[in-house]
Amino acid sequence: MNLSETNSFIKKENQFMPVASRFHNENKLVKLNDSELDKRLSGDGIAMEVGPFSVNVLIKFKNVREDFLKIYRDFPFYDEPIVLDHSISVFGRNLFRQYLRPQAFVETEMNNDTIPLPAKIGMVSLEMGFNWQVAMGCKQYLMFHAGVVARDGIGLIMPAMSGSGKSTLAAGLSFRGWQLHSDEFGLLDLDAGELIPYPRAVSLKNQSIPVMKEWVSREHDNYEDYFTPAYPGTPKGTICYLRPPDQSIEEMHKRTKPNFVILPIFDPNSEPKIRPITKTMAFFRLVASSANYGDIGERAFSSIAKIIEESFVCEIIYPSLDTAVELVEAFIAEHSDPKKAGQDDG
Amino acid sequence: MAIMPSEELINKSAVYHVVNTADFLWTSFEDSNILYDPASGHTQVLNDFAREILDLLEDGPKTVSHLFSEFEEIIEKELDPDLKNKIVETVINFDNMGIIEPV
Repeated sequence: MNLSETNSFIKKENQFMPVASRFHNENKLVKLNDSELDKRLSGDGIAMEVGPFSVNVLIKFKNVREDFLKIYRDFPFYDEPIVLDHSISVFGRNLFRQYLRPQAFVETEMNNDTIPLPAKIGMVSLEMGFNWQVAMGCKQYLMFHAGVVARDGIGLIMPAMSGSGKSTLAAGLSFRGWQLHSDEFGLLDLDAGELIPYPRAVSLKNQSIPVMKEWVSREHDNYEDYFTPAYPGTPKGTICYLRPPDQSIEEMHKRTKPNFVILPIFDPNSEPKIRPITKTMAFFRLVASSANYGDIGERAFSSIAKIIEESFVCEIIYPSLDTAVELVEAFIAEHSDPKKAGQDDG
Repeated sequence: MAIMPSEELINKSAVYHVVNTADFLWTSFEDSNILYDPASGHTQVLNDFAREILDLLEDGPKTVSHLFSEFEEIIEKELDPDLKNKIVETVINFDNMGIIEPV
């Protein structure tokens, strides 16, 4: 089989067939039996639905397929021909790299500048491929480097730099009743002004891994089932992936308008506190967090201006996940009527 | 080293005008005004003082001396050197941002 064939944006057979509906797709990967899943994932790949994107996933390494299914088993797939947004293949570039000193190379439809990783941490390559394609290729949605969650009509954006704990906080909230949109990529529909869920594997690093295991174990006896193995020795240290809560996957197409922007700052030595910020500061933090603000231009400016006008904004400084969740919920409770959103200045 | 007054950093005879005034997008929060310039793709924040200067330049091309005069009319008194320096610095910043240019 030629890999370039598997990466075609149109799944073969009859590209003129109607495109399958991207909504209410009931075909979940878990419904396929193990051998069928293995055959398809390692063969031509499986076209699946991840948030607003359709993506063909092909994985040549068995251990990576197992880890992948731990996270994505409840995601929908397409049996019909579908126009694909993305395509990801993880494979060894030659027999030596496939069997003797296996190395996972990731190929996407973008320029592939990623460094191959040892196959035993090939799941990291796969997730890097997902991130790469969205970060480089997504121009139809305004994108924020932010954790995003939603609940009861409240759309919360948490823009932050790497290391601020935004993934842990977004995941923590999602295991306490919030819908996880993303721990990494906030997506905004520019026409509707709505946040689009893009729930994927939550990337946990180093000290956040035991924190989240303890957090999930409080609600789920089978908590280990939500986590992949830990992958030591990556450029970011040890990484472990967490499956989004089942409800967040079920609600993958449930959109929410944003009305809260909270800037999280993790400081293990601080007292937990909510600090007011100006809307101007929140505006520029959203601009700075957006990877495609410059590409989209005027509509991006107007959309962020509208978000900030209609949102309550603050900064939280927190020493632990428990205190972070308390601070977020306290701030939102104080301004919980969405109709009031935007009437105060932070 | 002596600090050069801002007035000496600018050509007082240069007439400045706003480059793309009709295309600017604006939004305002609290005491700041945020401008998006589609020509450069840059987003700038202006305080009320800078916004006032840009408004005067949007009314028509002006030299820095003209701006001094108009400001003196607005505040109904002679400008002190500090305020003149602030006006000049603001004009220099606008020029650097690319939102005004000499005619």
